Amino acid sequence: MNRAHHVAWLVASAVLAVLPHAAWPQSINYGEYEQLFGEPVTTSATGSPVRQSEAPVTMDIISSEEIRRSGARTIPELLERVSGIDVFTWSNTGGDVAVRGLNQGTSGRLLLLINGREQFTDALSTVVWQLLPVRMDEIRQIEVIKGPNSALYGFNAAAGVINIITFSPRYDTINVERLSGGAQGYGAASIVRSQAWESGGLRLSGGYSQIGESTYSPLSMPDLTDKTDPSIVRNFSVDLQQQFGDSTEMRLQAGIASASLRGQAQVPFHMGGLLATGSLTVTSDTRAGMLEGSINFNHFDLRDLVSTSGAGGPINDVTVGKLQDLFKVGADDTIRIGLEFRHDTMSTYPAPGGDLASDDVAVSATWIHAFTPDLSLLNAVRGDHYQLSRSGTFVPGSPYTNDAFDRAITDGSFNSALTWRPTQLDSIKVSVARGLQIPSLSEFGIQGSQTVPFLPPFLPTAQANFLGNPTLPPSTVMHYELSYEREFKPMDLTARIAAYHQDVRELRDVPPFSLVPSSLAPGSLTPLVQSVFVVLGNATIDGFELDVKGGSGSGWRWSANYSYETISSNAPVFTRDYAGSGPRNKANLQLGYTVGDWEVDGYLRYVGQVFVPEQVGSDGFQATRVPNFVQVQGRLAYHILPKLLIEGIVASGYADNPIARQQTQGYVSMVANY
Amino acid sequence: MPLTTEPELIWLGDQLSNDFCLCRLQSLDAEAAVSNRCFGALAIYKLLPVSLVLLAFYAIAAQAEMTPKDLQVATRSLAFLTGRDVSHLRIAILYAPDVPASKAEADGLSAAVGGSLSASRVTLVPVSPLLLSVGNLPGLEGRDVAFVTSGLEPYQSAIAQAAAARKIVTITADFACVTSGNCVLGVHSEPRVQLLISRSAAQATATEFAPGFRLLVNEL
Repeated sequence: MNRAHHVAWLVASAVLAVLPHAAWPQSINYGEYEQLFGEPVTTSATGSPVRQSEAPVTMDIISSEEIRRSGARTIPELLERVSGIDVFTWSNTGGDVAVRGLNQGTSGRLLLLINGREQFTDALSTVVWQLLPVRMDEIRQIEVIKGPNSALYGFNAAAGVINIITFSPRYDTINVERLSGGAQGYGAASIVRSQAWESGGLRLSGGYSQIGESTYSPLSMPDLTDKTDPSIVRNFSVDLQQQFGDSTEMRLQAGIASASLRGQAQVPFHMGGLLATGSLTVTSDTRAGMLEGSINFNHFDLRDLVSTSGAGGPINDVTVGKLQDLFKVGADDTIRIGLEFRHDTMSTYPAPGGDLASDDVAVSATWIHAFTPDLSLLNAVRGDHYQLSRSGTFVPGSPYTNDAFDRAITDGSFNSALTWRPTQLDSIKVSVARGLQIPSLSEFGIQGSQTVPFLPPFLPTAQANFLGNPTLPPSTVMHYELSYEREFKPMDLTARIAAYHQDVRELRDVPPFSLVPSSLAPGSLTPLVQSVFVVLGNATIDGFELDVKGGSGSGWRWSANYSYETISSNAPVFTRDYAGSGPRNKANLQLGYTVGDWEVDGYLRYVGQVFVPEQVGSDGFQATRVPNFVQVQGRLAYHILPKLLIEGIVASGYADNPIARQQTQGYVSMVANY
Repeated sequence: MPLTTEPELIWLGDQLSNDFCLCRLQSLDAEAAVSNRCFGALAIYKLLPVSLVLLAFYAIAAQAEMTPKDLQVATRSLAFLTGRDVSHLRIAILYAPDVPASKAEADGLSAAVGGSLSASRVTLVPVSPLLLSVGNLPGLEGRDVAFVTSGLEPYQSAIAQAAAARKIVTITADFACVTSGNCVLGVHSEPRVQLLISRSAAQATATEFAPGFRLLVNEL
């Protein structure tokens, strides 16, 4: 931790020491740019501000208006309507989300950011959606980048990045109060308040929600209803933005969230968790470019975790310091240079006694060259040096020593993309990328030990150890993509087709327990069986997505998308079924109409069949077929007053996994927005 | 120049050392200007990058008259000026009395501005006389922004000198004025918003835009 704090001071000092030059607020005013260009602006694609239509990646942006009219209560509910996104809904409050295949319990190929700061849970190698310190009403847009972006964001952006952009406390005045209630004991209340002044602004938000869980029936463990039913989510966050002088701006964001939830890793689990997070970002316009330094700290307390592997979860602290310079050389070249330091610690679980740590230093650079106003080339590279370490004790029978964890990984990733606009209404993008997914600290160093039935009556029980593996290599992703997008102005319609091919190497999983022969020494009454994370094989993913989005001046709005994907893998099925993890066909249709004070919205979703391994015993898994399904949702809203709205939502039930089934749901909300 | 509805291919093989085709775009519709027929001809030539550059500038130059929607976009763009008080920008509209299209455009802009025009943090304030003839460039004194109408090619150099002397931001829908370095900012709102900045003209008029804005627009 001392080292992390030292780096934090260095980053902050370096930023503040630079002489201000230009007279301009530095942060991106998303609203002002969107009004100017008539489309959203994003920094997620390249690290530099770019119009959505010119982003050199395939990306979707879910706007605040789309969120407001979605009827969705969670972010995964919003994302499952995006082409190429797969969701396993383990709980009424969240699940696992994957971009373009290989979804699984604790899906680790997707990086989640809030305003560019990481909310990924390294210890579990996943996003715990219930622990996001953000309310839906304070989100300006959700940016979904499909395909690897490790060259910009590092290890976890192996298949995609989702960046949640909240409203700016300085530029956007958002005051929303929401009260909701409905079926399954659903109740929620939230408030978002903001106050802006000439040189800054402050936004506070908080909320509470609870809902009775849906049918949850893992074959291998009882439903611990006393722990997670109802599922409760609480969060509170602060966002402060302040300009200093003419050219320096600071943004301080902090939040806390707690939740009880159900989920699935290799095995089902119940969990009560807490996240405390804080970040400080300083941005300055200087003679050397737009400099940005940030320090972000996440504290995950997941100790209240219960699974068939035992009771006890990790504490995971992550500190990330970043320094970035963004500048233009001449008229045609934009350069971004980045330096990142990351310190990560995790206590072992479910068996305590060990402490894992990792330090990662990364250098990255992005070069965007405009050959013409309509033809540009992006090249981004990043090199990471990752150092793993461990201290503490092991469970009896572990083959490892702490020295085995003294290990370094040095690897690189890149993104290249050519974007061509043959006309002002067409764009063609060709891209190739290499992404990296480092094993999580859990995969490196989880440790558990329990007693399991063995060979009664002679050796009635055995000691079963399941362990991480410090020798695991990173997974690599090679991604190739071609997309074409076309606007049809008279109809206010945008259409896009994107086709991709992806080679994923070094997939990891946990094989069945195997007997450790030496444990059967003469006189031993308790043999040892062991299961250790290993590399199992590779996967190839091919697919394409069709997206159409339109509206009209007469109050109609609509969108439709279709995703086709095939996955082949040579990895045997243990706790993961990589080949069967994604639906081959998926489609979404949304239709909305506004007339007077009334709003009507309808959603239709089709998801093809998938196969999900389900634990059927202490060491037995079966690949369970989850049939295809159709889900419908309707929303009716009425403006009682211009700033007071009542809305009702009804959604049909469905099951996208073998463990949890979402019941038919309905709820009503009263929303004051002023 | 008469405008046709179809792109016209002109072979210049005898005139240039390397054979290549210029796709001469004479359509008002920028989309039609890069029709499939045009692509087919271009694709067979070796100097594709050169052709693309020319194609791009021809395409964006196809529309030269500033519309009220362009004016709105231009006004919003001025919010990203640095070192100037954008809440009160005194404007002029430059036109040539002997060019009907220029006069018509100036009249249209004048009507769109009205008593004043506000967008974002910017307010454009007309100063009398709002419409300035290119024969009266000293009349630019005391203005912050000048809109340059179409059809002023013979006067653009003089306009640039007058604007530089008075640190006036020149804005036009005639992208040729920007590519020649005589105007600071080119604006088109249809079929999608396009903004083009001449760095040399900006430097001459001491015009600075926010770094973030410069990353989002095209510069020359």
